[in-house]
Amino acid sequence: MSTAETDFLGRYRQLMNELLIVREAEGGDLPIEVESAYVERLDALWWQLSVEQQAAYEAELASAPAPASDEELHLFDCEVNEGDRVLPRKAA
Amino acid sequence: MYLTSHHVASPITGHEGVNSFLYSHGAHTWQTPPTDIPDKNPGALMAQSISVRPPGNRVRSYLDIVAPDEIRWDEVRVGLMTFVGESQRTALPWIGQCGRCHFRLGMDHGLAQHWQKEVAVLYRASQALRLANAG
Repeated sequence: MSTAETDFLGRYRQLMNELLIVREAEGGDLPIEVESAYVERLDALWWQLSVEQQAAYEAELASAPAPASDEELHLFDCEVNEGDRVLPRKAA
Repeated sequence: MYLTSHHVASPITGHEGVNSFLYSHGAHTWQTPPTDIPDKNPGALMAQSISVRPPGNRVRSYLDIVAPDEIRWDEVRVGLMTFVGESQRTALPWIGQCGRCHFRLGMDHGLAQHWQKEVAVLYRASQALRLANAG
C-alpha cells in the first residue's frame, strides 16, 4: 500500500471522527448544509480508497473496539482562582 | 493558552458535570508547543466554567489543549480532529502535537466505551469557555 493510499484512509477516518464529534457537540444534529458538506467530502474520499481499504474500514467499524483505558484515572480536581498559576487537577 | 475540561464526579453527591479552565500565556507565542506547558507553566487562570464545584471531585476524563493565546478556534478544531484520528487505535491516555497545538486526552474505562461522545462533551465545553473569553 502506498503512502498516498494510506493517507486517504487516514483522512477518511479523521473526517468521519470530526463529523461524529462535531455533530454530538451540537446536540446530535447539524444544520443540513453543514452535514451535507461533510457527507460530500466523505463520499469523495471514499471513492479514492481502494476496494481493500474500503473493506478494511468497514471491518474496523464492525468490530469498533473501544480504546484501552484504566478503570480509574486516579485524578482529583483542585480549587483555583483567577490569576492563579496552578493546575486545576492533581494525582491522587 | 492552556485550556482544559474535566468530566468530574462528586464523591459526596455523585453528581457529574464538566468543569473548564482557561489559562493565558499572554504574548508568549510559538510554532512548536513548549514542553513546560502545562505541567510546569500552566499560565495564569483567566476564566473558568464550573458545573460541579471543586475541590476533591474525581476526574473521569479530561481534554488538555495547549496553543498560542491568539489562535483561531478553527485551527484548534482541525488539530484536535487530526490528533484524535491518529490516536484512536491506541490505548488512552492520548498525547500528541498537531501544528501549534499540544493535546492530551484521558478517560476512564467506562467513558472510553463511548469515547467519541466523551470527546464531543469535552470539546463543546472547551470551545464554549474559549469563545466566551476570546479577544
